[in-house]
Amino acid sequence: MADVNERGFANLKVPIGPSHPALEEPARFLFEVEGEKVVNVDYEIGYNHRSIERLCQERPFSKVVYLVERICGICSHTHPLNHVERVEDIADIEVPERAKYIRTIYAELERIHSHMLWAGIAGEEIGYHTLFMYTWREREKVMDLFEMLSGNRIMHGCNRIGGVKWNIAEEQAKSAMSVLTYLDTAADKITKAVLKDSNIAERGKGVGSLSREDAVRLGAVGPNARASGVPEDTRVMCKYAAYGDFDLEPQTAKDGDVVAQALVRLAELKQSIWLTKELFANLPEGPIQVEYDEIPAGRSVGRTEAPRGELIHYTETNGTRFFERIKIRSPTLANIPSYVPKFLGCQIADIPIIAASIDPCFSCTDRMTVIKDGKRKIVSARELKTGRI
Amino acid sequence: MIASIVGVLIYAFVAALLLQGIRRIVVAHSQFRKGPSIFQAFYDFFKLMSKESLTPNVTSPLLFNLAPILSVASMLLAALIIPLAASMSAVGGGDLILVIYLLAIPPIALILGGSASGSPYGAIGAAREVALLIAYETPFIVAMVTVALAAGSFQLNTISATAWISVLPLAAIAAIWTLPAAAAVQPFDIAEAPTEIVSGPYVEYSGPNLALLQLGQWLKIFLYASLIAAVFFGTAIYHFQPAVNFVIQFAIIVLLVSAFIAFWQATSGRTRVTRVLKYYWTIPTMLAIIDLVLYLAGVRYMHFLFGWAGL
Repeated sequence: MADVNERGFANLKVPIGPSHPALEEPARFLFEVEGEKVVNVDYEIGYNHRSIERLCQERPFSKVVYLVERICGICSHTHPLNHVERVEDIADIEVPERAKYIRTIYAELERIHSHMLWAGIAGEEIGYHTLFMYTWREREKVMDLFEMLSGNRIMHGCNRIGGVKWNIAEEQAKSAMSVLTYLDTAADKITKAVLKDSNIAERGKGVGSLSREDAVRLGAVGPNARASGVPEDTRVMCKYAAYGDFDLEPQTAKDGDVVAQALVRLAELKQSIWLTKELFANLPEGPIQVEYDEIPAGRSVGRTEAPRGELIHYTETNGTRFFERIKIRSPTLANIPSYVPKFLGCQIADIPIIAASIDPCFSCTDRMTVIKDGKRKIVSARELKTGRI
Repeated sequence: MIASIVGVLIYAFVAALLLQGIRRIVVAHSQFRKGPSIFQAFYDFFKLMSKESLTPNVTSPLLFNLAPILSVASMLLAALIIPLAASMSAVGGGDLILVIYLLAIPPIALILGGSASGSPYGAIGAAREVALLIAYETPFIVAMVTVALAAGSFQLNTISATAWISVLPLAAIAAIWTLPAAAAVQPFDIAEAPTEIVSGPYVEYSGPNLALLQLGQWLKIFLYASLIAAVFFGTAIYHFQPAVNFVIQFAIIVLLVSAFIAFWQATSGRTRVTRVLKYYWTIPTMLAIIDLVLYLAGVRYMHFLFGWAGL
């Protein structure tokens, strides 16, 4: 059973996950190693199914917004943002400009803290605890900013169908601007610490590289694809919320390795800080919410750019207070196949940093897997609804 | 005699554990944290000693349970041979070769225990520990042999009468350079590497076995630094009351550990196994060899440069 290499020895099989210090979330990788070199890899996800989609169909519209917010603790704004945009698309609700800007502010602040979080985790994975401590300390400033704007650090509860819940006062915008100026210098410091460090360069250069062709073939999204030179940014392509008012350039790098991933994310960090400042400066006056009557039957599919990449929501309504169907494709699911070319041929020492380099969020990916008698089964919508599988 | 032996052993135990507390606080402060209590290593040690020790059923039980005892026993023996806060060893004349061998035993115990644990993480950790041991022992041994040749003796009591850093500074640099690798902290914590191989050899150990294995490692860091201090800074400074001598010696070790272990630990990530060999076999080994060759050729460069401390 164990594969035997040319010298007649069985290769060592090293399991990583579903519970492992390098992965804070449940996913299982089985590496076949020859000495320190990885020669084969298999992955398995599906350890954390939470029935989110089913629960969405059992709650009235107003509550689903809060439910989709809880899919991910880091993308806690972009999920409800995508969701309410789908509903507004179905019901033809015109959202006020100010609400669009506030939504975009939250989305960009979310990207800032997520990319800082990534830089810290990446440092932690290669044993660079000081980088972790530093970036997370600066990240707290963003969390405090969130608390000032919405009253909550993680679950902002900002979106609602037809607008946003929290308005931004003059003084709030002013103190947010000073925090952003501070974050700008902090981002410069982090960039310098990451890119000037010879140890990081040695650990990251050429490690876990992904060619442009592979990135396209395996459907990589977000910073993972952009690090391989695919200029794909949903904010630029779809121009949802207030992104149409600003000229954004997708940040790309060439090699797709760990250093390229860091380059892209750190450039986006700077870009997001700049964009948030612009948003605060150009915040239009007006209402933040419009009334709506009822949601007609209809369907809508749309994309937003989560910090980890393209997020797809499909929403179907049937004229009642409940959704007919909600389907969510989180960005990590699209990025997982690109692990295989990244892992093959790497050293054991590089496994954690490669695993962390795509900024995975495995718990958010688990939607529906039915395994009966050891075989995966496709489930029809009717079966799903009645619960008889 | 008995009193001094017991005294030295207690001093080594307390100092080794205190050193860990200080190292952790130094690292914590450079990471904007407060860090744990200075006595954290004592708490950890006594907590683990009070717990149950499990032996996985796939292991070779004798080897698995022997490794921690081997580690601590060799270190306690080394503590008696290295001149600690005194101009003489507690026992005998202090044989340098014996000490070098004893200091290699905790890593070997880790290798044995890791291989015997039956876990793939332990096996990989053991393989990495071998690479690490070979890497840092090379410059360390060359540096020590250079000093022994210069002193004309392998007896530590004779060697430590001179502060050899003033005669063979390159060898001293090479020996001090091996401190972070001997301490197995970042960037050289490759054998443990929690995010890669889940603490490697330690992964199957628990309770008193784990406590002893860690104690062996902690004692090793303290004694390794003590040996470097005794050889390169000499023991002539320890001519006060015993209590004062202990404080002086501990202060020197704390300085060495803070500057060369904690500082590196706080400012770098974990390196790769392949790089460790390249790292230690180039510059540190070269420095030690240069000093060895220059000494054998009769060149006393410190004498030419400063006109002092020449032999």
